[in-house]
Amino acid sequence: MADGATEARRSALAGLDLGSRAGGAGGVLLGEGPPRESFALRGPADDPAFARAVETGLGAGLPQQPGAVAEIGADALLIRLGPDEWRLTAPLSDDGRIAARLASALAGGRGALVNVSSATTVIAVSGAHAADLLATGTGIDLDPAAFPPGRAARTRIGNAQALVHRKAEDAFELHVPRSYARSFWDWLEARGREFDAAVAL
Amino acid sequence: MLLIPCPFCGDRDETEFAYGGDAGTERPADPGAATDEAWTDYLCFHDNPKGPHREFWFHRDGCRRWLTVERDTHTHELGAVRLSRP
Ligand SMILES: [Zn+2]
Repeated sequence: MADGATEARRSALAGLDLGSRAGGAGGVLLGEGPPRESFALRGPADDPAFARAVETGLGAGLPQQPGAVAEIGADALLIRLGPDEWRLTAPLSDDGRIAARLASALAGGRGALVNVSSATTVIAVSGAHAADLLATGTGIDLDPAAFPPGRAARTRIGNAQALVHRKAEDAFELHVPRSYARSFWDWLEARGREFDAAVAL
Repeated sequence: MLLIPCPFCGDRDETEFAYGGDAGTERPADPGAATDEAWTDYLCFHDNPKGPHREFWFHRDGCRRWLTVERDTHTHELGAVRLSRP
């Protein structure tokens, strides 16, 4: 990141000029989510020293169940994605502080933390028919009984891989690969017509 | 479409996976000592049965782990599914 200070942050969806199209009410609201910092955490789930280091760094234990989400302070999350993989994600305003605490707690032990913030674009899908829209493109069961608020899953939705976090019964945040963001947005809008989708303000 | 019961993620659509081929072959234990025939057999010759088959599937859009899946190539019936490397 030698030139980090001189590079302007630019959304993968900037070319769509969503701001000028925002407004209106519909069964689904689509919008770009607040940008987030994301970090891939890998480590041995069955190693108590690794679990202790994470708890020291984050003040929260490793979430155990697949798709379980641990909340860390204000809007930062640790999501279990695989047998030895978690995703730490925090608001941009955190400015890497949470990740730095975790990195120093992990130092010298087993476990790796890698900044993957630039790899994904965050898209927010909300509204009464948000789950109905997403269900047209994924095989996972989005019924609140099977996938309640506070849960997450990495899966396939439409044409892209997506990390889905259900923030509320009718509100989802999707992390999609940045290079797929435009075509995934187009997919959302096309499927959204059925539900009178509007662009969120 | 297959619904593959990933041991970590649960039931997931086939479109989340990449097929990885025959899981029945064994890499020569001592690569330097293996004959050309042994390498050729390992790399190029695979069983292609009509019936029960043990094969690799990569859960690309889920837990990103390799699975070893028993599948009947004729009926598509799935048997045991496990993480290839726990
Ligand atoms: Zn899986």
